Amino acid sequence: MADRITLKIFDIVGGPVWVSSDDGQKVFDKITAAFKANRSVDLSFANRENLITAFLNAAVGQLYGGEYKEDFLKDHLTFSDITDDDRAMLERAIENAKRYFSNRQSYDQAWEDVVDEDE
Amino acid sequence: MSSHPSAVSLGEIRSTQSGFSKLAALAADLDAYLFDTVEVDFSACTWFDANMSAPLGVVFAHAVDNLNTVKIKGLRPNVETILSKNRFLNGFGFPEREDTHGTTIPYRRFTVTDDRYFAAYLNKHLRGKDLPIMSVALSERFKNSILELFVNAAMHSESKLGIFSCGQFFPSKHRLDFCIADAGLGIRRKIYKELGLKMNSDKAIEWALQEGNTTRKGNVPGGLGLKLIREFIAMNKGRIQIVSDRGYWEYSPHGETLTRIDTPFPGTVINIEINTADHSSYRLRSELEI
Repeated sequence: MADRITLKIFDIVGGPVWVSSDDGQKVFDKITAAFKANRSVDLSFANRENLITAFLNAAVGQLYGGEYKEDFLKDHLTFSDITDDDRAMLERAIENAKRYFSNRQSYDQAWEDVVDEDE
Repeated sequence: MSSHPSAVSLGEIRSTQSGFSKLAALAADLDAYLFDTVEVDFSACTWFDANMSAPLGVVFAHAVDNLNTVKIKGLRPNVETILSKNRFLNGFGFPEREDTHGTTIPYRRFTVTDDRYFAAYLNKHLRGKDLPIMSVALSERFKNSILELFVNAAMHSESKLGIFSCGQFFPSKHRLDFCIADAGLGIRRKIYKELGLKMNSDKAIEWALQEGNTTRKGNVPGGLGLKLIREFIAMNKGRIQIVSDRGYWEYSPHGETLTRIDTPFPGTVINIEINTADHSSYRLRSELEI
């Protein structure tokens, strides 16, 4: 089992407001750096004031983009100090990410030009 | 430069398709001026929904960006009170008025990188003391929805003139409206720019509402924020409206409308209205529970 490290979102972002995709990216970069160093990650949600899915999509959702298998993430990524509501939001973000990455091609191909002469 | 100020006028503005259409028409009127002083005549405006100050801010920002001076005249006392209380008129030489009933979430203009200032603004103004009858859970879901909209606008709109916001609580109706408006490309042009897909404005809104669709490049999944907002608004029996370019979409318990307005709005506006008297549990559920 890989050594476990606790990453505090509050420290990585530098405050309690966790809304932007850019701040989510900072968290994602720390998680993947820890994985590369053969560490497991416990991601702490302590001291949050605001949290939305745009942040979670970048911080956690993009981990499901293919580089890491789901089983690896189950074994190497845990979440602590998290409220029930935030956990539900996180689960929705993870479910959305899995669906997004498994259907990406079809999402892109499903739409064609839809235009008439009025515009 | 003309010797007399040019004049355009504005009628009653409510949070309706007609209200948005009138603001789009005002934008088109103002677009004819450059290096000019333009007086906007409000004498025909008998009512102005305060939250609509956000898209009005976009319209005026475009006019000022064209190096015009915008002046306001003919304000009726009730409309002046509304627009002074929410501080919209501060920038036009009118004195600020105290919001004694605590029903206003003031008009503000942010840059696209102001996400933390925007969160602080919401955290301050959506606290219980100003809006006492909302449950904590409802207030949290509402706040999160608005934050999602701000981040969405910041990420996708390419609005050089910023992001404009304003909210208003209507106590007798138990309704709280909050509007976020940007002065950016609009959804239709953004889709064309990023994906090369040509769409009418209404279809472009439909595209943006579809699960999984995003113009974002890279490896970050999108498309969840609006879905959760729609779930929330449906549960709350509230209303959501999106105006972008000529596209207009509205979703409420009365049904769904997707159409085109006559004149393009120069950006994108999202208005959400919640029923503050609703005491449902707003716990998010995982998809397996739904």
